[in-house]
Amino acid sequence: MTTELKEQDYVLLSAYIDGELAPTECRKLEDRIANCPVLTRQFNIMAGQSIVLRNQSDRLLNDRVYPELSKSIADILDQKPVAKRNPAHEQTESPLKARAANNNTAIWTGIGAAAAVLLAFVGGNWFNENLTNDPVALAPKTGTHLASFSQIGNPVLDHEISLTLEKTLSGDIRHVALAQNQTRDSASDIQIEPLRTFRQGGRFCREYRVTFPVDAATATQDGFYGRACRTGEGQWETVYRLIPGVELPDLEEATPSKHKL
Amino acid sequence: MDTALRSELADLLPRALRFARSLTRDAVAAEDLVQTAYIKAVERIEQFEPGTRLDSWLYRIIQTSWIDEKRRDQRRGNVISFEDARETALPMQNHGGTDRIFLQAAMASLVEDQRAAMTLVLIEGYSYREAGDILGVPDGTVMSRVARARKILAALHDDDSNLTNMTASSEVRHDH
Repeated sequence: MTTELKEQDYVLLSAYIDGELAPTECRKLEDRIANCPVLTRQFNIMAGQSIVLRNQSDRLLNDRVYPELSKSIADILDQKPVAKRNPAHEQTESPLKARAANNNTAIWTGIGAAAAVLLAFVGGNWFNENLTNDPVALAPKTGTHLASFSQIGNPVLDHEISLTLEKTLSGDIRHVALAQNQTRDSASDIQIEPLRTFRQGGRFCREYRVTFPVDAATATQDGFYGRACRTGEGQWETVYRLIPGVELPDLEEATPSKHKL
Repeated sequence: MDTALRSELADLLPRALRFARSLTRDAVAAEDLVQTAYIKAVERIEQFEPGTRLDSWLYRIIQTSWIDEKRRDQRRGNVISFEDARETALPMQNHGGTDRIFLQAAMASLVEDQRAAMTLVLIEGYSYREAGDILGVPDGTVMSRVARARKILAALHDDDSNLTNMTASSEVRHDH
């Protein structure tokens, strides 16, 4: 009687469950299972788990095939030109560009270049430290940027972003209404969408975008991109935010100690 | 493209997406991967041999596209899934390790090779040989990957049972 299973026992049990054993091997194993409580228990666990996983496959199959993707695949199959969505990890150009196509085009066009510059500082938190104290960033914006809430130094927004990064899957959009806009209608709906997740410097980090209404009458939207890293349960530290209309700090002025590169 | 073939490829989308999700463990990355694979499938449609399984052929393209994608990722940083990032423990709540949510999380904790083999064999119903063809490995490798994955899942079951026992003991102590 077996008291401790060997690697080969697991292989045999697994192949038996999958119907991959030859008939003679099946009979031998069945005899062993019938006479060995350890093997019986292991078989019951493995077979039980397999049944549950098989049964949930149908549920997974119906799980969120977005119409957008179906349409895109249909276009591919019909060999029509496909506007392939930028993979989140290749966002050198903002996907929001199309959405914010009103008079914000020029601003968003600059974001790709801004991102390229900022990526050099990832890991040092330099940009965030400077931006949060940067009078340019904190000053009310003019021109096309007419947000009704502060995008920086806003603890409520920071909390909602942290909550979203902690609990929301990439690609899912979380809708929130900030304190001054609690009516939660289409005009006050702030959308936070995690874009991708990755490990950096031993920490888990996520990039996200925040979209918010600027003018309810024209349904104009604006938004920004950000990156944050997880520092603890529910705690996300901002690495940077790419905000249209905010001038980037002069790279030459940063001290080496702040760069931490 | 042949109409029937086009229709069959379109019908395969949910399954293709499910396989892509099992590889990437990220909804957005899976959608990108599926799109890339379908573009390649259309480009290479002449290479498909009528009479063979179209789903296996498409899965193979998804698998190779994913390998290409990972090679690119190695140059620009390691992209991981949200499940990894959350660093949360498996939802062990005294359900005996056969709870659907528990198993889903446990599957996500497997290494990629094991998870892909488990998905193809257990969920998609491929034989070891067919799964080996899709993954580009011998069927013996599929067998051992699936067995190792099952061993890990079973061990998680034991951990959960231990948790159950510990909880029961503490409840007994509390009663006294």
